[in-house]
Amino acid sequence: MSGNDLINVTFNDKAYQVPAGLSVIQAADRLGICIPRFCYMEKLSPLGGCRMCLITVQGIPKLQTACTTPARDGMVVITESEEINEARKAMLELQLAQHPLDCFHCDKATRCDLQDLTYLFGDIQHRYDFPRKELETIYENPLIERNLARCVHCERCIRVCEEIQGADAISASRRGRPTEMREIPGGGECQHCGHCIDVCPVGANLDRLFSHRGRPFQMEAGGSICPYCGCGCTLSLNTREGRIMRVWPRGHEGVNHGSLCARGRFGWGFVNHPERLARPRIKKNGQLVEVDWDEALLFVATRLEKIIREHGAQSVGGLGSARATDEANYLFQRFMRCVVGNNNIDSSARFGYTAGLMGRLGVAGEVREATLDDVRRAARLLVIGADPVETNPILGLAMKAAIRRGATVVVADPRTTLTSRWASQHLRIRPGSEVPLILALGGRLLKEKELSAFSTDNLVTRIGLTTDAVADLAGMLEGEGAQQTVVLVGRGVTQAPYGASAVATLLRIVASRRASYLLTVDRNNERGSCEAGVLPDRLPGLAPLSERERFEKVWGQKVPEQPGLSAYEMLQAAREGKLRAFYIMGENPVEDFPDTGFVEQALSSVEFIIVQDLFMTPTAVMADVVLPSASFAEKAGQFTNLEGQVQSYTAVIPPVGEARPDARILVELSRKMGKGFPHKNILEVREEMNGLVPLQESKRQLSANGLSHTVPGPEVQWGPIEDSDFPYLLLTTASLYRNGAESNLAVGLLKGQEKAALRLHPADAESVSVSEGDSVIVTSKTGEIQVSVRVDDEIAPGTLQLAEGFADANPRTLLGHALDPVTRAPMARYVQVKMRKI
Amino acid sequence: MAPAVFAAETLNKIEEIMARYPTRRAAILPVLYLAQEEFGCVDDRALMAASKVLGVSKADVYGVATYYSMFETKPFGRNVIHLCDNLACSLLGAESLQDHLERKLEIQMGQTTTDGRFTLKNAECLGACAQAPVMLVNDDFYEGLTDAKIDEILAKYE
Repeated sequence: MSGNDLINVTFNDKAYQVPAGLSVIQAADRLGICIPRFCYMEKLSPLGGCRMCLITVQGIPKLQTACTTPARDGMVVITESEEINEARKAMLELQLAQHPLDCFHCDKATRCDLQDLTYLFGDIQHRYDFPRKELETIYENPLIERNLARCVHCERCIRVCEEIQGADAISASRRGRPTEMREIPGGGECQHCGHCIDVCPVGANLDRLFSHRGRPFQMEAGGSICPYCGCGCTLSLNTREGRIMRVWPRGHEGVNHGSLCARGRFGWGFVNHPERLARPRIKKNGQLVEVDWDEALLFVATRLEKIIREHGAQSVGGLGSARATDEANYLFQRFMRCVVGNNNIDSSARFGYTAGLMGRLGVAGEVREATLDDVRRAARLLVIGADPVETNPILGLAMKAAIRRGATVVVADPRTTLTSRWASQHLRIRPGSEVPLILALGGRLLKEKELSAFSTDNLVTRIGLTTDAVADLAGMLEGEGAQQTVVLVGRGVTQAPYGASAVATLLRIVASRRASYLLTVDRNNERGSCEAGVLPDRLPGLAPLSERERFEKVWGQKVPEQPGLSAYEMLQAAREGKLRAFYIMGENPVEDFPDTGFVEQALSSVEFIIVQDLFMTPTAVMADVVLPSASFAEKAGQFTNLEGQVQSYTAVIPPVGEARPDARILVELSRKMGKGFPHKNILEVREEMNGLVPLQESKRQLSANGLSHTVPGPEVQWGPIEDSDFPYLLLTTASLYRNGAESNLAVGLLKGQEKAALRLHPADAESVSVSEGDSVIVTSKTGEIQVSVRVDDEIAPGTLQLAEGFADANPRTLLGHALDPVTRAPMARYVQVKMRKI
Repeated sequence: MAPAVFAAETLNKIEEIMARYPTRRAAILPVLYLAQEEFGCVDDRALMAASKVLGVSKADVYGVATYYSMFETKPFGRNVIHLCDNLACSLLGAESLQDHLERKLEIQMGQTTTDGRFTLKNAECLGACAQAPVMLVNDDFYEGLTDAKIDEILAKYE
């Protein structure tokens, strides 16, 4: 029977038609017929454990569980009768005989299925007289309370952890009445997605950050979009008196289908953090002192005008933000182009999405971009230089969903990652060989002369794979099945030398085989910032500068013709004394850009720095003016996620102190500088932007025959050159628990993982005589950090893995800043280091 | 905490066992028997070893190990007494046999004697109700128990 067939089912003497292939409870839910349940959930496999969904099926003498009984053509079902009600009440009586009935101090009270069902039936008897459960409440998990006594044994938490999250952290231990749904003692498997909290029908799995911070009915809920990675998950912010109390998914809505990751659920702590900037500050006698907005903006305007007058517009640089909204980025580039008068505009997207974008622009015509849903349905996934489970956890879940449906996943990566552990096959290529691997695939699949050298010469020495392995990999993009292949490309490719050329080659393969691709995106609005025009050579909608006339018409202001400098070119110019002023909106180059020493040196040569941020970041400390901006929860705007989906959201709480949305700051500053923007509110900005850049505009630019990419010759040095002074190779990774400065100020994420950890092979640990938890000093040519070690026999010997984003031990301090010839971004995936015990 | 390490010989046995089952999960039970034999009990380190060699989650292995009464998550005595306390045995005096065992061994149900000679446990039905009351000592089965018979039996175990 196909999925479209209808069958006839009678519920409570009424005839209905429902699609074939449903269970009785699914059919009833679709028809709006209420059947009580504890264990059944649409998104989980049926268990048939709680016995609350008992029904009568004509012709079967005993009551049946609606969740495990398939709906069949001609079936006659009764969902309510005296017999059924008695059976359900008997189940509730057994639950209530054991439950601690401590509703007075339970966070779930008034939002509890046990309360609701007891209320529904009303007259439950209490005939059993055995002692109430005396199971302990377990606080081993730093973020999730396991209140075992309240558990109704529905096993939703176990199933969600196994079937959706794939963490398999919870099990049903012991048996009979003392059964406990808990993590195994010592834990360690939990990835703190908190999904077990959402699905718990009672107060057994609870959010510890929320503990006793309010009753459910005291919460106001406001929809929002997650500010961390590029997935763009839909959130529900639960607030009380203008402060966030907890975060939930919003039902099954959004790209995340009701799932969240640790960052989405527990990463909100920065919003109401006591260190949030509440008032503008300007530097007076070497000290940053608080002033009012008028004084701060006037100060900025006066100083900027003076610098432009004396040194020319080219002496000013600007960083928009891969975190800020589309609207703020749109106004920022307009400010730089029209008010300041140059195209020196970039953002931290330069180290990620921009390289992929440049690769995409090198391919004319249609290339199918995958959505998260496409990934969920993919038959084959080829993951190159990406770790979606940590960088984009919801994309990671989509991958796991595909695996559960039988997809083959091949991961080509020199690192051992949470993603590689899920792969059907992990091709541990040599560090730095993502690009030659792609070129070798191109040589096999594209039959182009300039690529042929890559498919024939000694692959084993260069990539670390045999010719057969490369042929197998190429096979994933051949034949009929290629259309169901999704290629995931990450920073392992985009941050490598000639990464953009490799993306272009890969996308030509993808297009020719009618497969699809998706770029992993670390920061929430890398894509949106680029599409809003925060690029030195592209206007909003990715329009080339040659199309500037139609923008000038709408803006009524001139757009400079010369392309500007990219992020590191600006820093280099700063070091050479050519950049006098630097406007940094929501970026934190000192912490987030590779080669910290270089960045600090460059910034300290700049005469006048404006930083617009939530916190006194290490970059803000170097500024002459610090403007407090509003967080995502405090303003309206839109983000563009990794699929290119534009999602708007509104303010949920008022801003902290006098903090203002970025867009408002830019409009007011433009007025102070005599070239005022006309917008009265964010909707007017959005209207102007959408008028100039209809959603399809970026897509049109992507498919226009634009950039041509040089294919690098085989003589290029791909991996590191051996250096006996620096015998280890440190590979950068991502962490579930960090993503930018805000994540280091979110109490939930600090609880998830407090400090950075250097992962290394036992043999390497032995060679410097350290064991688990000891600290080492890691030194590269550019810097030095101290970090504790975690011994892991799955890490390749000779390599060290360290996640980016932890404030206490930042691998960016160790990285160099050699720029890629195409993207002008630092090549920053690995660095040679030495290490010693402390 | 590092997992315990199986002897090479045990690993071969485990390979053979896993080959007999359609899924790796199905092999949890026989592998736990081997783990308990090799490491003395199925403590955290043994569970981690079993989970690793089986390729199934620690949570699954832990759930199975705590479900079945023949597995011990803590070190136990050289000999284990499983006294049945289900219906038929209870009707025929299992409770007073338990009193006798507790007095004689000077321990409570669930405990191990200080010399490590005996661990006393309750068992679910051993499937011999016609011969109740019954008990297992290690793998040896004893039926129609009385206090005197128990004294005789225990003397055989060192």
